[in-house]
Formats: sequence, structure tokens, C-alpha cells
Amino acid sequence: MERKKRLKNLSIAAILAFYCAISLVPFYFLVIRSFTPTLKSGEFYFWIPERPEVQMNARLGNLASVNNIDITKLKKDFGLKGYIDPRLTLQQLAERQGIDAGELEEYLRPFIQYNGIFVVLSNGFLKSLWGTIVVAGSSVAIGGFLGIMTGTALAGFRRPWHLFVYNSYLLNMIVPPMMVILPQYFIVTQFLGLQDSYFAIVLLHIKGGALSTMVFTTYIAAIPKSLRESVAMDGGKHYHYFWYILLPLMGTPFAIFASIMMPLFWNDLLLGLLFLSPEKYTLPAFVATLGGAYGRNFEAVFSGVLMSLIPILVVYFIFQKLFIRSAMAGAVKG
Amino acid sequence: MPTQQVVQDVGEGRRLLPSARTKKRAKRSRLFREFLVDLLYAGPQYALYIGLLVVPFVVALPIVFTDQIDFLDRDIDVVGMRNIVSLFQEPMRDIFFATLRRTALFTLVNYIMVFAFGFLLALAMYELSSKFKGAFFTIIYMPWMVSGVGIGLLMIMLFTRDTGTANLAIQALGLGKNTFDVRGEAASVFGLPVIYGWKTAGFNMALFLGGLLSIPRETIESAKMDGANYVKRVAYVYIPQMRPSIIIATIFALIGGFGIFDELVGLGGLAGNTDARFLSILIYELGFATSQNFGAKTGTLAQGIAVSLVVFLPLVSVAFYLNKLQKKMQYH
Repeated sequence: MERKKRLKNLSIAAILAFYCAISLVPFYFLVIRSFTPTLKSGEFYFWIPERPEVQMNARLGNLASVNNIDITKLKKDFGLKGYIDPRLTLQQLAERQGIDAGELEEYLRPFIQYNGIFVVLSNGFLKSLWGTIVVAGSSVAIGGFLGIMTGTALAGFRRPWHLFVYNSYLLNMIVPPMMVILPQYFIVTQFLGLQDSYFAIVLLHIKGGALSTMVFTTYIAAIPKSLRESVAMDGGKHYHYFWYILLPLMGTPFAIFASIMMPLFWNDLLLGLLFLSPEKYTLPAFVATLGGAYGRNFEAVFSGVLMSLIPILVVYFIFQKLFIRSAMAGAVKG
Repeated sequence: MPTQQVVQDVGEGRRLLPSARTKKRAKRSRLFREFLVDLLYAGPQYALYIGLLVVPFVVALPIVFTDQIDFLDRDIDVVGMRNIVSLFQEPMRDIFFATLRRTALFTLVNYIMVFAFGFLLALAMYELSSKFKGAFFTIIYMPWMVSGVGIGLLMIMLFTRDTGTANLAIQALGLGKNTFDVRGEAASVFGLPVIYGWKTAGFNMALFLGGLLSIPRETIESAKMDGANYVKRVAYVYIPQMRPSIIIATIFALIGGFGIFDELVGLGGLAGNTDARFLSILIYELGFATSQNFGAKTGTLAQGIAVSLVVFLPLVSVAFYLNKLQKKMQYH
């Protein structure tokens, strides 16, 4: 009996381990493909292939269209003037313009060898990373604070209208974003005049929803009433109670809220695409344009996916216990 | 302040009863003060919520009855129900029905995947006792961090003809050339749900695991005593007691399936891949694609709002009903 049980347990563990292994395969090949030159995309690599060398007989035009090398920047960096024939090879360019061929090769080497990463970086990756951090960070911070305030008022459902407000927040769960996006766009851009502004996205993120209301209201309702009464007895106002007693107790629910909402805010494409101009795009919109504009440079597209994934994965692995606890807590509440 | 009252009473030696009117007035003003404080706390977010979810709807609803082309259009005429009718007439009908068919099929396959991934993984996790449980959970939940666009582009990375890693791997094993193709309706209707199921596996697993953990152990033990095998226990003990979780998963799958957008953008839905054109892409194109796209506008903004109403209002009613049902079950 005991052996049978252990065997059963072992086989379940084996199945789960197998699923996990398969589940990691796309991540593995994402890394490989981020370093596989676009010209070699037709070949299968199980490991990152050798870095390509700069081919001095490669034509400028091809380098521009396949590797997205910025010819204008190259001209500026070498002080070249006038029209440059894209049919020229690098060797010919060096000879005609009197540049040292070795110097040109040195200049292009990192760009060719790590083409994907360089293309992504030179097209504004860092700016959109910063934009995403600002949007997702302030959405979580302000949204959490507003959620705690809502929870403070609604906890315990002391009046009928508390329950009404609570239930109307829960309804947010069944409203598909696509149904309301046209009207929302109308209000935010026409009435509030928020065009090309991170604030528009933050506003739509912090408007409250099922999860934040549910989590904060339940947690605050579990705080003993005597705490509030004792503050009142000592002559404290409601804001004293809120600031000095309630907020310090909100660590756990805020962590649940943040770890569930953070990936959603980080990966939100629609609002970024709609409310921002391409220069200010948040990461998902940035990656989407990489897929559109550099569709032929696979190395750059997959590098973009990988590089926008790394920050959130790092956060996920640092706080993995918290993420899992929150997922389970959210599920039990749901 | 009842405590102070008592002290006063003792000090004066006799009771000074406040009149009924004073009492009532005091109570009313206390309630009013409480109301104001509650409003101060709940108000800011609720104003945003109503202002950005309900008000837009009221303001934008009338557009459905006009011929407004886009958000900049100022020359607007009232056309009555023509927009809604036009969805069921040529030339809009073909596009509308095709997107609706793809979306509905996707949602159906996706719903199956919710159980194929989430439910089965939750069952395995529930039965397992191992120190690797946390590690398994971490890895299963990990794809949830990938953005929707990333999911679409991962599919392109794996399944494109001639360059897709999965295709190349199969070819390297000598099992066939170009087994998968990311272009084509089959990929977006049947392939995408599988990858989407992989992404949401951890999320759905947590949902079902929550349901499993809420089952009282005695019911499972007694079923075991009675000699019910595992399949029977799942069918007659687990599933009936997990109904709230299953309903929630159904709501998420319905709303998520009909609203899927990011993944389709990754697949090129906004860049000419008509097989990845689902309802959300159609609504987006109708509402926001301007003359920048070389004048290739499929219809008007008013038609876009008409589409979202015609499709999503029935859907929201179903979800609303399911939500009610789930609440009722939880209280029993």
C-alpha cells in the first residue's frame, strides 16, 4: 500500500516535471533565436551559433535592409558627405571614401555580431522601458492607495450603498475591454484632452476593479474594530487611523494586488497603442512595432521580445513565493 | 461616546434625559458625518470608475445612430438603425460574420484548453506531495509574464514556414518539412488557443486548485471508503464541489476569448494577416484606423460601436447571469 502510494506520487511528479520541461522550451529557443542572425533563420540551432564576422564584400543596401544598419548614422560617424550608392560593398566604400577598412570593420563588428540587441536598443528600447516602469509603477502605487481607501469605506458593508458600490466594482470583471475602449477613448481624448500622455493610461488603470476592491475590502474588514475605536477614544481623527494604523497593516493585501496587477499593467498593449505616439510607446506597443517595421529582421524582433520580458521575469523570480501565494489567494477569493 | 455618558451620569447624580428630538437630530448628524467620511474615502476611485466606465458609454452610445466616420469627424447626421442593420448586409456582412466565426471558434477551443491545461495540472498538483511543488508552480505560472504580443511573436518564431524553430526541428529529425504554418485560419483558430492555454495554464491552475482545496477532505475519504475509483471521485465528488471555480473560469474564458487582441497583433492582425482578424481587431480598425492606412478603412466608427454592442451586450448578459449563479452557490 505504502509502495503503491509512493509510486503514484513519483509518476505524478514525473508528469509535472515533463510538462515543466516542455513549458520552458519556448523560452529557451527565444534566447537562441535572439542571437541567431536573420540570414541564418532557415537553419536549426540547438545552441547559440557562432558570432558572424563582418563581410567586407557585403553591400550597404543589404546591411541596411536586413540588419537595419543606420546608414545616416554611419555617414555622420565617419564624416561622410553626399549621396552614397547602396550598391557599394563595404570594401568599395572604404576605398572610395578613403576610410581605413579595418576601422570600418571594427565599427560595424558589434552591430553585426549582436545585431538584434543593437537594433532594439538604437530604436528607443530604453525610453519605452522607462515609460513602462513609470506607467506600471504609478498604476500599482496609486491604484493600490485608492483601493485601500475604497476598502476602508466599504469594509463591513455597514450601509446598503456600500454593498451596491462593491458589487458594481465586481461587474468590471465581466466587461470586455474591447467593448468599452471606443467610448473610453472618446472621453479621455475629447473631454479630458489627454493625448499622447502616460497619465491617460494610468487613469484607466487606477479606476478600480474587481480584484483590488475584493482584496482590500476583505482584508480591512478582518481588522478588529477596537483599533478604530481606540484611536477615536484617544481623540484621533479618521485620517489618523487611516495613516498610522491601517496603512501599515496593508502589506499583505497590497502585495497580492501588486503581484496580480503588475504583469497585466506591464503587458498592456491596447492602451499604449492608442493613447501614445510611437516615440513614447510602452514596451508591448514597442515590440508590436518591431514586429511590424522590422518584420524581416527576425533577430531584432525576437531580441525585442526577450528584452521586454527579462525585467518582469526578474521581478517574478525575486518575488516568486509572493506571486504564487497571491495567485492562490486570488483564486480562493474569486 | 457611551463611556463619557456614563461618567457624566455618575458625576451629576441624576439622569438628564435628552429629548427624543435632540436624540434623533444627533443621530442624523452623526450618520451624515459618517457618510461624508465614507464618501471621502470611497469617492475618488468611484468617481474615476463611473467616469471612465459608465459615462463613456452613455456619451458614446448615441454615436451608434449616426454616420460618424472617426473621432475627428464633425459632419454628423443621424441615420437611425442603419449601422446595426448594415452589419448584416453586404459588404460588411462577410467581414463581420467571418470575424465572428473565428472569434467564436477560438473561444470554444480556448475553453477546452482551459480544462486541458488548467484543470489537469490542478488535479496533478492537488494529488502530489513533494518538495518540488513550489518549483513546479513557479515554472507553470511563468508564461503568464509573457506579453500578448510576445505570445503572437513566439508563435511566429516557432511555426513560420521555412524559418520556424519547431518546423526546423521536425525537419532536422527527418519527420517532415513545414509541419506547421503560422499563416492561415487553422493557426489562429486552433493553434493560438493551445499557446494561449500554455500562457494561462498557471493562472487557471491556481483557480481550479483553489476550488479543489476548498473541498472538505471527509467527502473524498468517504468516497474512497465506498470504493469509488479516481475517475468516479473526480466526476462525482470533485467537480460538483468545484462548481464556483468552474463558473469563474467559464466567465474568464468567455470574456478573454471574445476580447483577445494582443496575441493577434503579435500574429500580424493589424498588419494584413486577415486570418488573425477577430472581432477585437475589427472593432479597433473601425474605430481607430484612419486615413493614414492608405484610406483602407473597412467601415465607420459608428459601425465599430455597433459591432461592440451587438456582440458584447449578449455576452455580458450571459457573464452577468453566470456571476449571479456563482454568488448564489457560494452562499449555500
